[in-house]
Amino acid sequence: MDERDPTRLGEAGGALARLIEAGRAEVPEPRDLAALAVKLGIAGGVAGGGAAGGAAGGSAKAGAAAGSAKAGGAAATATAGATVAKGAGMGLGAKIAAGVAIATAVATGGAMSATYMHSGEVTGAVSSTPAAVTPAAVQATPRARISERETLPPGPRAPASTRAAPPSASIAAKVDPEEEERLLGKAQAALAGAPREALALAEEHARGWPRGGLAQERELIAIDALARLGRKGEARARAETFERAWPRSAHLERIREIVR
Amino acid sequence: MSPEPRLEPAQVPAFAEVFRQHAPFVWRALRRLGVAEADVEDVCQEVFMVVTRKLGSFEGRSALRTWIYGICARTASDYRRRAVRREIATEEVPVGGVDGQQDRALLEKEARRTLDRILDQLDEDKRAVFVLYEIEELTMADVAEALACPLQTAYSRLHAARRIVEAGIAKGHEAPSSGGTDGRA
Repeated sequence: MDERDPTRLGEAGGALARLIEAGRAEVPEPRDLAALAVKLGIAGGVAGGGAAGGAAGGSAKAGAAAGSAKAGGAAATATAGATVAKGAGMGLGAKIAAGVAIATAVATGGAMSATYMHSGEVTGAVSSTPAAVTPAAVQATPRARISERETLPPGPRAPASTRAAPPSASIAAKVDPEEEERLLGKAQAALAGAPREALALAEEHARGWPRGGLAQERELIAIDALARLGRKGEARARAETFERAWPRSAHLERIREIVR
Repeated sequence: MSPEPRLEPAQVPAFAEVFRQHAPFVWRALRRLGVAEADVEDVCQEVFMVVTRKLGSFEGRSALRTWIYGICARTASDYRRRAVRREIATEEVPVGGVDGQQDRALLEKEARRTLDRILDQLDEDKRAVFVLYEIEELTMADVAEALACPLQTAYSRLHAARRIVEAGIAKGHEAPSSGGTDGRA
């Protein structure tokens, strides 16, 4: 510390020091960090149970640490490659996003290619798995969330919001993105022909991954399935919960259309 | 295109490692810089997307941590600018008996809420200096580096911020509020 630097208020005692102490003490929940790692595409190792164990372990950094410990040895580019190679999430994410985009009459081509555009760079680690979930949809909405000053890569500009799923948050979250994607992929595929099954699969997802990286997509499928089953009231209630949880989600337009 | 000197690949820390080491403080700093609890995960993601994009060109002129704080401050600033300041519903407070630990956690949460209300009174520049120095405990030289302002400017912002914060405390902002009475929020 520079000798010109004044004594910090946190060390000065009194009411303000208490507040500052409390401010310093805030740490994110391990599951929040784990979810973030998944969204950033650095959780390749997480799938193997590393971070799942870490998250359950309860240390503030465990979730992320376990995940990155496995990926950490590799250079960032290698991480990107691995994430891109995995591909499953991108497929599903793109599919769901594309569904939304088509529904809102927006071409998906730009977003899709943008997703891949970065895969060879360091940024691929980020642009592949998580952001692939919504880019098309995000571009479909006028409410782009990122400002111009510190611009993000052109494709996955707005991160998918994956805050806690409103219902059934009590069950410990699984942190296996591939399994998560498989399950939701099945739900998505079932939607048109077998909405009841789609709904059941979405519920299964909600139990296993209440805060999963695809929680919004899960809710979108569930709401759509409910509407197709004629359970409009439930669909509407769930849509309202969705809107409260993710007020700026790119899926909102589609959801409003479904429950209209 | 000017040929920017780049670090050798081996010198560039792996992104996953950077995330592991820095995510908790990024999260906390964003909260104090005015990012709502409901948005912090998204904004944190934005920060790391910028980090990952620029990590290859990070030149090591400052500590990585200082550099990331700079990104935090800019991202939070962008967030504040675009945020339609929606009212965040007060978090649920468990009804019924709370044990000692929950009690303490609640008090701490309440203290943080009070702190954030006071910080809300600072303009963006002063808030950034105050948060990085008083809460994140950077040296003033690093604060100035992170915020890309002259050291002297950082000092004067800190002093101005302190006066406002101390006045906020004196006005009784520390009293637990049931919410909704703070017209300046």
